[in-house]
Amino acid sequence: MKELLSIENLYVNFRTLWGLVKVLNGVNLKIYEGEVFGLVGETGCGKSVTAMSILRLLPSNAEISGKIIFKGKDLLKKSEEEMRKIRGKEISIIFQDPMTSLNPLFKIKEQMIDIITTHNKIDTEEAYKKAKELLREVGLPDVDRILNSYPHELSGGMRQRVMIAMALSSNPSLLIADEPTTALDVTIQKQILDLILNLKEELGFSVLLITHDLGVVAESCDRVGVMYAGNIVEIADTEELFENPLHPYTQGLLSVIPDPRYKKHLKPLRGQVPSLISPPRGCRFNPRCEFVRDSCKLKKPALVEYKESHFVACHLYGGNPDD
Amino acid sequence: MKLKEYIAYRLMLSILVIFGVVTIVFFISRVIPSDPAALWVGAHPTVEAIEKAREELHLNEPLIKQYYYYLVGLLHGDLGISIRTHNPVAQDLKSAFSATFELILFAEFIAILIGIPLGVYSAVKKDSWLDNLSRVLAISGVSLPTFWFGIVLQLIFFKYLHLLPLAGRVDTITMLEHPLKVITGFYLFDSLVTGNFVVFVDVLKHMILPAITLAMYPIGLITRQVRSMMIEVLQENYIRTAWAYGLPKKRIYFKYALKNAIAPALITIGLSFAYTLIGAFLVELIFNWPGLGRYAAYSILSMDYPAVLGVTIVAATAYVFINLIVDLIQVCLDPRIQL
Repeated sequence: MKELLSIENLYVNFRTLWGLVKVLNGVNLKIYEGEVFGLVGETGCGKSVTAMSILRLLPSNAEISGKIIFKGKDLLKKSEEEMRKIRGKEISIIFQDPMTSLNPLFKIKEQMIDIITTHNKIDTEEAYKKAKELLREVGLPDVDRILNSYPHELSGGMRQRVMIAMALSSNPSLLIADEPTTALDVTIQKQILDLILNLKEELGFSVLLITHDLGVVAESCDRVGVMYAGNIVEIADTEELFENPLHPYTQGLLSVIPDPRYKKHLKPLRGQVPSLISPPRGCRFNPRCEFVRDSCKLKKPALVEYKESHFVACHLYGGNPDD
Repeated sequence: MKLKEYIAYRLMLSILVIFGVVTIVFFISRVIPSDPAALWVGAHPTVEAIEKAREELHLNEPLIKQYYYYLVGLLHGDLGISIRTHNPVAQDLKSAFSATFELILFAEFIAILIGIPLGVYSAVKKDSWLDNLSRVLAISGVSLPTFWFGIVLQLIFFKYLHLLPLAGRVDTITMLEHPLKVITGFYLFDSLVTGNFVVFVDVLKHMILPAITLAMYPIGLITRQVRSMMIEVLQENYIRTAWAYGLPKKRIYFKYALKNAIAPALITIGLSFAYTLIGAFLVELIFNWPGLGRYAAYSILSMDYPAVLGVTIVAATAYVFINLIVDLIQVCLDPRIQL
């Protein structure tokens, strides 16, 4: 498989009034062509910041370092204008909240045509035709009416489909889906997820699917990365991860999925997510870990390949010096 | 509600508002202790003359009857006779009205032209030198007294730089040499339409200083309002979407963000018309502008109550209409507003 995106040692800090918030603490991950890579973790663990870093859309108080190699070029070294031409064209994103992600004062057609003509040298009329085509592709009926509607005249599911159509308008190589189904009804969630997967099969782009829903991961991802407090703690093929979780945090996450077949008490993770202004030294998970050792409190474990294509960042599994 | 019905409904409300204003101002101006009859007959009055004037002006009749006479006259477009000028008030107001409204419209035009881009840029470049400069400008615009600012401008541009005329609406000699055919009473418009460019340039030169003086306050208001709304709107998810899809910066700021941020500024613009109208009282005195403000100021000083009432009615009507227009623009801008 060919590598499409490779994030290497990505650090992101936010300067705030309360101090430096160390949001990403050396993130490493790779996304291959044509795959669906799931990024899971709790709210605030840095999933969306990772996504926004790829697009270089972090707020101005962010400090970013590391490498984000996309198609062989480091995105962090590109100029703002070069980045602008990549956004929406080579890398697209759909957001969590379709209700607020579309501009309320412009008709769908105006917003779509603007995006299409920005990245393709075609006139308005052709862009309108293209917009119609795209909306049909995402399974919307009555496309002329939708194009002439304002966002508030459409349902949440319809708006998310419109967002997907916009995201795919220039045939991107990478689609970032940041909690694309979280704000939708359960029945619509399934439809939207299937739509993304079907379009991916058809058009051959890669997907970075950001979610906190392990059910969504199990259903749709080829590989999964688990994030905790700004670190990727484990990466594996989806099946492998669910059957054989290595990191204590991953194990904790999987143990709180209720299983209707057995009446058992769920074992919640003890403790709470650390403050990112003064995160714990060493492994950021160490205050909550059952298997904590001395080395966990001193050194941050590196992400190492424990088994073939199964990576884990934990001192329990060796691979780090002094383990 | 359809747009037409809405406009009809608002017009009816406007009539009520104007009627209320007329009533209040009528009674206030009549209970002020003064003797209009004595003013009417002028210097060296005789007792008989004053008695006769009292009769003519219905001043010896009950107040409520006088009010009735006034309303009947008003319905016929008769605003009474000015005690000071002895002209029909309506006639006096006609020329003063166009002079003032030309000035106010020009001032608001300047305020919008400067205020909106300044507001957008200070929001985009928050806390930069430009933002700080615009903050200083806005606060001075709102807080500096109009009369002081007008005089300073006169000092600089007339006395020291000899660039612009001191006062007046148009140069008398220019007007005599190039007679202006008055169509609307808005000299800029009339001279442009009739191709009288000499007068056009002259009128424009006369208008710049008073218009800038008047515009200072709305510039400040509009800048601050647009800035704070833009800062809010730029945080919105749909603006993040616009960035994420690689739209050009200018289009994001001036198309997608500004349209969302402009609504409160529009209300401010509508309200600031009222302020500029009041500001015009002073500015017209300083710049000797033959407008409503100067007319009103002289009328008030000479207790010329029919003239004061006339000015009030014109000002209230204009204010009500401008705000109606602002509301209609808002309806056109935001499809979510239900009439």
